Amino acid sequence: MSYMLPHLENGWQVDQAILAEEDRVVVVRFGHDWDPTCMQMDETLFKIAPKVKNFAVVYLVDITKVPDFNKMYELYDPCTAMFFFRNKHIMVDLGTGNNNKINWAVTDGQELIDIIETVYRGARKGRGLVISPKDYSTKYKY
Amino acid sequence: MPLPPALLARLQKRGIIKQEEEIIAENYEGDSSKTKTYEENASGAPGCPNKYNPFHLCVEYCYDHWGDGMPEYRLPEKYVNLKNRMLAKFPLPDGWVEVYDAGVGKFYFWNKSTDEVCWLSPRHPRAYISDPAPRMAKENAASLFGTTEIDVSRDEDNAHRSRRRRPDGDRNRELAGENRGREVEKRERRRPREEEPEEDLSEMNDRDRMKRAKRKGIDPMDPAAYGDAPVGKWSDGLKIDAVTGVDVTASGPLFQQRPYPAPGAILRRQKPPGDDDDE
Repeated sequence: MSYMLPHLENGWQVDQAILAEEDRVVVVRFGHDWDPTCMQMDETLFKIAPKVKNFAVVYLVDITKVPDFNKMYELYDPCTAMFFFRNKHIMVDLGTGNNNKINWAVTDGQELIDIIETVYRGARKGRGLVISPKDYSTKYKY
Repeated sequence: MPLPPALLARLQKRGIIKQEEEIIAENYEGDSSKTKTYEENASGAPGCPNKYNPFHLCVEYCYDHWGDGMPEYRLPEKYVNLKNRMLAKFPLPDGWVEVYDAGVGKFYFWNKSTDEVCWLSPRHPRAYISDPAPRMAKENAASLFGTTEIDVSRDEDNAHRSRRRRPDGDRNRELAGENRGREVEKRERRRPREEEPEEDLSEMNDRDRMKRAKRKGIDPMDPAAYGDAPVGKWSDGLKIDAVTGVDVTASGPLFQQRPYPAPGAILRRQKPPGDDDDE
């Protein structure tokens, strides 16, 4: 579904896309359109994009075409979703130990909506770190 | 008026004693140990048998322990005969003089003008003309420790001695025959490594390491003093220039509170400093 979501082709576009949003969370998915993990994530993102359009906007970035952020954002996972609000990186405590990004494919649309909404609510209050409604740590598996 | 060399050097530096006075003896034997002279013959510890070693700087011990070395008149007749025979066969070129080294107990040859030394007559086919070992020792020490704690005067003396020793060694070779010469050579080659200050840390025991640390002025609590860590500051191991946008030094609870910079900041950082166009 990645062809339905807007792509950002260079670093300047990424910057401008985030700067342009005054009152919406910008969800940026870094990865490759051909990557299976990204495909799953894009599927979910595409599904929820209309539902969250009032408080969030989704962009896709190909980390091969736009390598500017790979080092600074430590983009070495096949699929990485990051949240920005008013040109500020919003961290999410997902319980995984990495608060900076979602580096797996979220398949449940509602979960993702919840996360984005939490980010939006927290960021509106000026928080740089919000707690995910669901704990994604693996401790429950064991 | 024999003054300790350290005191002598200090007095000289202050101009209290003139240099000429110190050059008491052209012969390094005897007095030279106690007096600092810049003369060729003056040397640190006259009797020190390690003067030929380019890694050896004579210390107090050399003076006390070796005394004046072997007097020339006690040299074995055989050695003197061999030396004389060599000199007859390969007479010394102009500018070269024969010098006796009491420490090694051999004669060496010294070029007054170039300050080079040789154990054999320079005309000898196997003669190895080199810089005086004491000078090399001084340079070695300077490169290893910056400045040596040992007195300048003594260093210079050592240098002279080393020079002498070297030549003596060459001579020995000549005089005593090839086998003996080889032995001397081997010894000479081995010793410098043994006495080299930069020893392999892994082969040193704790006591040696602490000694070395004390010598080099390393804090005993510094890992460089007792371990394999190189000498450096606390921050030396950290990668200051962060490749990532986050604070790499954050750990523990802080680790999860390190936000990334905004994309714009990253782009600005990556931009070469020259082109600050727009904005």
